[in-house]
Amino acid sequence: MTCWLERGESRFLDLITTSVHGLVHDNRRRVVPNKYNLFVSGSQVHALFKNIHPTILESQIKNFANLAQGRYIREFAYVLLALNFCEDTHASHISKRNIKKISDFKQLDYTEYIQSSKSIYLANKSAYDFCKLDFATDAWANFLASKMLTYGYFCRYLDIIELLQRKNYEYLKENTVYITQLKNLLGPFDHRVKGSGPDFIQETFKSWAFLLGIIDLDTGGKLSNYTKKDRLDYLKKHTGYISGGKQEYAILRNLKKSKIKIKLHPEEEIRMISFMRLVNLEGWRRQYNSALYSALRRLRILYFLNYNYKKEIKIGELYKDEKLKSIISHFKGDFSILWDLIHLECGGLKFQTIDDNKKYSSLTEFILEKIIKVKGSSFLEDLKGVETKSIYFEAAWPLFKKINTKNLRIMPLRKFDINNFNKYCPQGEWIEWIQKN
Amino acid sequence: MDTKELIINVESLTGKNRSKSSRTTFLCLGILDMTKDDQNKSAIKLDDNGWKIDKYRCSKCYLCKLKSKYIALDKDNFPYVTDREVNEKYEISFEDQIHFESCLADYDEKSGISKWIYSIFRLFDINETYTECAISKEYIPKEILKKLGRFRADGIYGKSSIPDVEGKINEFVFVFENKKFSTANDNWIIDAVKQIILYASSEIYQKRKNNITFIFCYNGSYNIRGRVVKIIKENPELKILYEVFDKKPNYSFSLIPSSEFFNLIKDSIKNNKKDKQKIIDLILSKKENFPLK
Repeated sequence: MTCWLERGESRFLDLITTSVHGLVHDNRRRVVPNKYNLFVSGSQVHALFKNIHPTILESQIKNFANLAQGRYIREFAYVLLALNFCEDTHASHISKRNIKKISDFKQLDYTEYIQSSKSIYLANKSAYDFCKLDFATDAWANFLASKMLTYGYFCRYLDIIELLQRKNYEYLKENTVYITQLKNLLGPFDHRVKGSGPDFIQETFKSWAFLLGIIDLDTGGKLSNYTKKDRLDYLKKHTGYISGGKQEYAILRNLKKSKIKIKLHPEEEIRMISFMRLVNLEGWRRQYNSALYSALRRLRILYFLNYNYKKEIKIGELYKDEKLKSIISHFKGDFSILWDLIHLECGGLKFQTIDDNKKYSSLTEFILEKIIKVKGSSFLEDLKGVETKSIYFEAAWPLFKKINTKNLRIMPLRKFDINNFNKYCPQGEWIEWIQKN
Repeated sequence: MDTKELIINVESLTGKNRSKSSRTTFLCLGILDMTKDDQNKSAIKLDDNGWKIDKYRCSKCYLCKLKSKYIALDKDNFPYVTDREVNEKYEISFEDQIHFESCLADYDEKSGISKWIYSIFRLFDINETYTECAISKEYIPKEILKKLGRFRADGIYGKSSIPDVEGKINEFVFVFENKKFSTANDNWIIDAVKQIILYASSEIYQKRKNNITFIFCYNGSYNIRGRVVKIIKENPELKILYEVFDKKPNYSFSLIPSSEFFNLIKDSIKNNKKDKQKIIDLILSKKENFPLK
């Protein structure tokens, strides 16, 4: 399963490592742990914490696990899913839902998949392989980096860095990217508490990217001189929150802007956000019908575009698609195809967009250009501001209705891992029909 | 000595449903967790050789002495760890109290005075005691939130009002708002009174039949009644306090400086005895009549 990560605690690479160790340790003992147990087992078995008195370690783990009502450790379970180290055997039961017709969807069948309270985790082979590697070695870093480069949401992060670099240079003659610009453009844009997830995840993604050598930072200061070995040495010395307090990874904490060189690029096939995450979880709780409508539309678009990988298609063809039309006629609600496509881009897909023979690397870029046309290049400056709302989305929303999409063409530049996706998607005749070309 | 001897489990009530959560930490004030930072700040140390107390970090809160039979006091009344049970009685001096009060003034409220009050309650066996007891704003009348400037239209994500400590024993409920004393301004008093109004008007306490005492506790030794009266006069919105309490015969209000609780500890160490009735007596003896004069 692939989730949106949304908390800064997931930056701690040592805690990710210990969590994988805990998962494997428990599975070897034929225990399928929940998020709490895998974290506790990992912290106890993994050698990173061996110098801590057992009583203190026990307290640290317990305290960490209780922080923010358990959200910290939930985030680590989500990391293991996002990086495909395990299966959520509870969440995968959703694939047992047999949908023969669209009216077979019943709200009660899906409420248990909104949260992870019943989730238990089964390690996959890659988790076992990862546990053979020593912490903060080259092999360990490469292994983790390769996982990250197939995690759709992280790929989106790299895409946005690349986009901002070009746009800042083009309009502002600057080579630097501001962290605030990144958080304002990253998405997803449907959070109930605006400025939450995309804001907080910056800490995680910049830590992963820098410390694993996926990006180089040219700040003009010390960070510019960090070799990969320096970064791994730094990781060895800083083994995470539970032993070190809130100042860990302090070298990155004050980073506000930098020239960024992307050294490792996303793979062509990514793990896409799972079915239940195609819509804001609050949406499933409070506006089930509307959430289901959005999820099914996006599901169809996802498969439609996957079949058209690296093929140029008119967005108008999507409107003509019988399967999408049947979903729309069932729910009869208003929607924006551009909004759906942008949401899928936030999950890691990328649609080259062609308008009047002008090519844009992604739909996000195309929309950004449209906004700049209306608001001027100062919009890129606006993106640097710390906002509690998503100014990109607010500026884009009125344009979604104005842009003539009929002749707009897009070309999917990435595929998604269908097997992984289908493990956490309802199945049945109707879903098979939706997923077919 | 057990490896958990000088550790305390700090329990709080979180979220709308006030579900219990807890953290373990050394007894020392000034810390709330067990991170490296906290271990450095704490006077209590634990390593492979067992327990130690670093007197240069010690605030003389004497929580360790209250909890463990293996703590003795040296000639300067600093605690140290022994390997035998200690039955000696000690006389805590005025100098010890000054040392403690100056340290208490230095800690932030959460890890200082609130942790101290919570720990005293727990160590005196008032087991239904919690710190940081959330009250969702949904439980507080909107008009009171508005009058006190605490209303937010998108209120469901507004921060809860959080009594610092809540302890229940027999028919009594004690609800604490703890503040650091200041001569620089009156904001801490205004804030404390507002908080107590919010707590007292919330459904959480309005529905209870127990005798509920709301305690404004602050570090220091003086009674600040006169100052509170003056501030309520100058800030008319604070008069809601009287209206809320008038309607509830089971409510009372106490003003207690930290020195009063320190006296309880002194007494306990002197007599080698912890008597929870003395806590109840202290709080009830400090009840104020409304309107304050």
